[in-house]
Amino acid sequence: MLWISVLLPHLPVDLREPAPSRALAVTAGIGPHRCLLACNAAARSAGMTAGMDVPAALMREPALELIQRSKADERRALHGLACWAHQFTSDVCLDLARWTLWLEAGASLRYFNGLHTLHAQLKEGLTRLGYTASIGVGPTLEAAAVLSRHRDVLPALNFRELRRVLAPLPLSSLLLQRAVLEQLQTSGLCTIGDLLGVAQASIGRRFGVELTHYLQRLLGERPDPRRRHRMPPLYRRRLDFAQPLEVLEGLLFPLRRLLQEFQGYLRGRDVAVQRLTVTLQHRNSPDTTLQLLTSAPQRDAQRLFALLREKLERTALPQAITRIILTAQDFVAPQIIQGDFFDDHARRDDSWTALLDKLRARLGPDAVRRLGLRDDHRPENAWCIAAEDQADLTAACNHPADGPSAACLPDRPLWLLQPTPLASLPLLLGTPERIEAGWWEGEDASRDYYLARTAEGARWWLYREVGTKRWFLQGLWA
Amino acid sequence: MDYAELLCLTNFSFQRGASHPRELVQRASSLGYRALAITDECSLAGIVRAHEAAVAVGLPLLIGSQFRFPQGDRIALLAPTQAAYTQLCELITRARRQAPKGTYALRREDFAAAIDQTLAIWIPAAHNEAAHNEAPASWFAGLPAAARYLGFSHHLAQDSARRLQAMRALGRRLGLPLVAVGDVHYHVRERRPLHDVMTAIRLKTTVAQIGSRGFANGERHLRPLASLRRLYPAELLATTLEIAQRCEFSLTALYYEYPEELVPRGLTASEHLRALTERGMRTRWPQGIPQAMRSQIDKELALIRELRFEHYFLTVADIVAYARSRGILCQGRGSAANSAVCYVLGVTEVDPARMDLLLERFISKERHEPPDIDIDFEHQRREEVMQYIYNKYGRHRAALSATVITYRRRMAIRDVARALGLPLDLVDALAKSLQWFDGAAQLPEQLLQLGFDPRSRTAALLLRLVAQIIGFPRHLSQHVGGFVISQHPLSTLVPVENAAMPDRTIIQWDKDDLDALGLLKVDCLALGMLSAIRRALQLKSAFDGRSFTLADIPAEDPATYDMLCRGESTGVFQVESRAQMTMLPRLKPRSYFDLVIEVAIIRPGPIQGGMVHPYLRRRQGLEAVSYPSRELEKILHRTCGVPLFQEQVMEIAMVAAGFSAGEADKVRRSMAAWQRRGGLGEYREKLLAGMIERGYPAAFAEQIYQQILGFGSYGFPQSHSASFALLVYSSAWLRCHAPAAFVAGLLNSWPMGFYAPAQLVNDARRNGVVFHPVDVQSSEWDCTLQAGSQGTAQVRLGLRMVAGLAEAAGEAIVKQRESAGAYADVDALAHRAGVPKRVLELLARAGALASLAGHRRLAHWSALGVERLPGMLAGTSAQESPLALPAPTEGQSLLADYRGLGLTLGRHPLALLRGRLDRLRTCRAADLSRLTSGRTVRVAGIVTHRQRPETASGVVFMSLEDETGISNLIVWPRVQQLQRQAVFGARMLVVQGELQNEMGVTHVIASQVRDYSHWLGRLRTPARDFR
Repeated sequence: MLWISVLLPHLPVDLREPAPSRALAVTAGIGPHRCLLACNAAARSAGMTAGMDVPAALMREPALELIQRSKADERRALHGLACWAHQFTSDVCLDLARWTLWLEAGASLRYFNGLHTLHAQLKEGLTRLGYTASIGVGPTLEAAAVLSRHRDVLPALNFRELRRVLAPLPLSSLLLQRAVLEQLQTSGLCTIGDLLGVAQASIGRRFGVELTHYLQRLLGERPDPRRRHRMPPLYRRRLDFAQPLEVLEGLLFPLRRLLQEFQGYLRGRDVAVQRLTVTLQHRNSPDTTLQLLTSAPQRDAQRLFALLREKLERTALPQAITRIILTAQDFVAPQIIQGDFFDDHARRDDSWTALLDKLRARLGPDAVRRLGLRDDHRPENAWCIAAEDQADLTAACNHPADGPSAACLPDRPLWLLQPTPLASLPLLLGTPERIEAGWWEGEDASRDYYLARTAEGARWWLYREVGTKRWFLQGLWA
Repeated sequence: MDYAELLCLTNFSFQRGASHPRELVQRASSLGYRALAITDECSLAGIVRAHEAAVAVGLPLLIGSQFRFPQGDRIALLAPTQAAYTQLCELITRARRQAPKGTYALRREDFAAAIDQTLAIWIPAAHNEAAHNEAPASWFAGLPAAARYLGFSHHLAQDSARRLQAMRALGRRLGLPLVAVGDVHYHVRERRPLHDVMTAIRLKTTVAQIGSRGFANGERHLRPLASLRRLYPAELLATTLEIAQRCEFSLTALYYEYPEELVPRGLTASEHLRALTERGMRTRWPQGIPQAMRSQIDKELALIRELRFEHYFLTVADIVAYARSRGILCQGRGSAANSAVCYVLGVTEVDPARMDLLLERFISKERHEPPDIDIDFEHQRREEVMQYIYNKYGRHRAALSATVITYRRRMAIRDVARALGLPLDLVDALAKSLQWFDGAAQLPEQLLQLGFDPRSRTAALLLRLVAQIIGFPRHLSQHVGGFVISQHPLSTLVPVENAAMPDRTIIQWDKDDLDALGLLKVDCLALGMLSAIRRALQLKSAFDGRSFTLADIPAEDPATYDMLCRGESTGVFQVESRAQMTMLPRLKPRSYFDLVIEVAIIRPGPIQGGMVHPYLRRRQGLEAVSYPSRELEKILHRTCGVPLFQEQVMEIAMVAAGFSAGEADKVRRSMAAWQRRGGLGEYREKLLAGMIERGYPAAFAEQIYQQILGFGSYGFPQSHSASFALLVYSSAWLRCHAPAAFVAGLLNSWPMGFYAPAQLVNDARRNGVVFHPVDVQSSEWDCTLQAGSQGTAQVRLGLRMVAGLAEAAGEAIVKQRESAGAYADVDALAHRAGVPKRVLELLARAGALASLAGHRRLAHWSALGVERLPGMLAGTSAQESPLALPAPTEGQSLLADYRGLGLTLGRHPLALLRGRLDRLRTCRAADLSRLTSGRTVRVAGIVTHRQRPETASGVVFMSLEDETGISNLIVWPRVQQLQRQAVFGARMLVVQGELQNEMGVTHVIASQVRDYSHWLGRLRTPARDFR
């Protein structure tokens, strides 16, 4: 066995669309514990490093753009890469937490004209996909992973070489808990060679069998069974954009990346495709779906890209793009899968929600709206278009007993108008209600509201601005 | 139609009221209200301030409090008489004591108990329909209060008119009269935004999201009478006056008695105090009492009897006697503490013959207010004294006074910015980016740096609201040691509530409140130096084999003064700061009184009054000593004609500006509290006019006024200096003649003082003290003395120096070793003393296992290998073949020393870097004094202190330590701006600048500051930042 380990040290930023000019970092954690997880090249050259806390980073680089980590995006990216990597070998493993892929290369060496060429092709392919990768080669998975953390270390092709190559490397290259690493360093052990020189019993006594087992797996003295990555029979790859894409140009790189991954998949399975679907999603508009039917089976990313691009340029995009999904299911040989995979959801009750869904499906999500309450003293701010997930009208007003609760909302006219200046006053009824709020938005409303009756008998809701003493009509009573 | 406001919150109803008590009182008075009730929520914390303001403007103040029920209904209770006031205090105390700190809880039964003297007002929750009010209101109608009312407030709500009708009907049914209440939350309409902010802070939300949980408009302020007349029926307004007229109780009538039990049966307090004084005189002067002293004491006793302060002196004497009996070092200070009576009672050691202090000058007859005595105790044993006080008087009669924690800038920014809904990142960054000294002026600049336009609306709001909220009370905390002791339960006098510490209770008033009302307070403070001195004396006694106490320190020792004159004062009480160190060679103290001056001179008062340099010039003979007038010569002759002490300034006000003693004393008290009440302007006029009238130059008068302002921010009178100077002398003598015992005493009392252990040890080593490392085979918990080859005292570092080691673990190691002999190896240590692995690692890291296991790495490896085998197998773990671990290099050892001990006994870190530093052409600290002043030098060192005194117009003083000593830097604001990160963030600096070398004081005026922290690698160096 010979393993190639591919470490993606900047995976969380690399999986975003490339933007070399502005500093970008992905953050993890919340509140005071929020820190940088990975930085793009621009951010790194401005002195940002992974692990830095966010306020410190912002102090140094106020223009730094921050994106919250998405583990789901990382998982999708790594799976996409694993599919792509199948073109080199059928044996692919991955470790999401370590941002690492392993390719078993022993069987493919001859096919690729030796390790050197394979290494070069792998590296070039990754670069074209937009990933920074660091590659290590060794006879065990863990050894390859250790070596991948060092740029200038020769590959270890067998177990004899392995010990020699590992010996001078620092202990920090091993997969050790922070506390264990500190303990070892405090004891004066600095290199992997130092540690391997200590009797395993002495290590076990101090740090437990987890560490000795790990060292045994590292050296190939203990089997290291892993689950292999399997190629899915249907291809579906989704890519989310942190910032919605406004222009078509922005879409080209991600699309090319998806198609290249897809090409790796096709090669790995040794199939071609005839029908391909690209779905572009928008925040508030129905999806834009592009169906690509090729006259002949294809598996060349360049060709597919050219075809899709042409199609895209003829499509009117209603809105910025938030997500792109590539799906393919009709592969030519070895077998063809039929049936509608996406259509076997459980049927819903034909109830109110079903009606809403139907209306939405028919008219588009934007055409169907629901009103909601907002907790604000100003009448024009006391209502809103409810968010999709807002449960019901009163939810917004369910406060603890500290103040007025939803049960006793003040009397308000059902029909609100944009405040309209009044030239002449109708008959005012009763005492005024004073409402003052909104200073934090710059416009501090200060108004005395009155109920009024017009000569025609209509009941109006008026207010007088306390400062200017001007009169406005804002509502009509039923 | 007139009006009295009966329902009003101050900002002492934390996060509810948005105006200071004095603002409310002044506003009510100027609007022509006939009276104002302050009814904070279950609290009387703001009442004394309101009382003071009300007395000043002549507005009748009603005292009350309000209580909120879970449904939102409220009861307000007003105290028409002292009896009612006592009931109110007890009710608040009960509510507060049965709930966690900062909250209160009352059940309905609690009201039924004892409120029969109070006037009660029922305020139904705003949102409840009249029907819902019936049941709780009829419960209220049955309460046994002296009178009951329904409170109606009209805030221009939609349903106000309807509500009035409903409440009228309710009142008729229950037979309760209706009264108008404003439910005031702030004094003027313009405070509405601030009130919204406080609501948001209380609800932990933003102002935009408060919505119906906040008020719909800003009507809850003190409204003009004309508006009220429009809103309320006349009879509701009239009732407010009826109620106000029934309230005749004022805080001035508060009756307070000192505790009685200190006086033996059959004696009066006066007789007892005289007896104690007589006994004390015979101890102080066994050869016979000097006539002058006897007549002084007679005069003082007469004054004490006249003002009836016997109990106060007896209380202080009793506490001091207790501390002495337990071997706890203590010392009194303050105006009355330096009286002859206190000297003979043993409260202080300041011999009145050495000072010209007159008691009557500080106990003024015009004000009936107790004298002030602070007692300092050893900081680690003060708790014993506090427990004694609690046990002697009982928790119901002794409590700590409160400290009002007010909004400072950083917290104000944090809270306001959050309430305005600024992004949390920005709030954090903003709060953190401010240095401790940045003024409000820096805020816009900081905002800009964080990418936030200071001219934007939000920024403008932020700046305005922050400025408003600064100084607002936030919560009550316990005072560091101000005890109030009373004959009767304290809760009849002032509400008592729970403090953060378990079993601690505090009263709702702070020390200024107590002062204002003339209540007895004894300050029991903790002073680290007393611990250090006691320990040094004990170590010296044990080493010499004979007892050596403070009294054995010879007076006026020339060698001690020589040392101080050289500016060598690291670790010495009060004069170890860097400003003091540079002052010592200039002032050249040669006597006790010089030390009194030394302690008092580096203070805001003399500095702000511009008195320091004139004094120094006159003392050095560069300027002739002259006096503004013959009268002032009497006051100023001991300080070369320059006023330095608070007392001198007060006397000048009396002699030169014609203030009466009582007036001068008012000035003194206003000084201490001018931030609280604002403004000393009235005194300025009178002072300047008075002095010019008597022929003094206007400039001199202005200087005196400036000095008064300076004393205000940190009053430090001679009476305190006098006591402190004794400790300065004692600690300086120990440093000079028993340096090993002295530094060991300091290390054993740490944390205290100005220096980290590393600097104390480095300084002592430069003075020839030999240190031995921490060693489990020979160290005690504390640092100890052992004899060197010539019989000199050397220091063995104690296990307490090991970072992270708990005292119990350390003591176990020592105890086991003393009872059963030295440890054979690390395993033996682990099993015999029951030391867990984690602790062994700490010991190994600190190098304390060297005698058992060899160098640090071997020790650590052995510590990790210790196995805890059960029962019979204990101590039988398998032998391992030894591991050949290379010894750490010097640099690695140094790193480990700092990590494990915080100091090293090896070479100084800078010594290791010296080769590289020489290539940068830097000088050593010790070389600086030999170089000529004015030349450009480059120095390097570890940053040990950063200081930016408020009195130094933005200058930052820094200290750099290298292997030869300390170099002192002066960094002007211009350089700070250019190199802010290096100045405030670096652990090691290389600095270029101009050398100033005058009178034994060396400074480098920094022009270029470079951060070289990376040269230290992971070395952790403690720097201490001071104001």
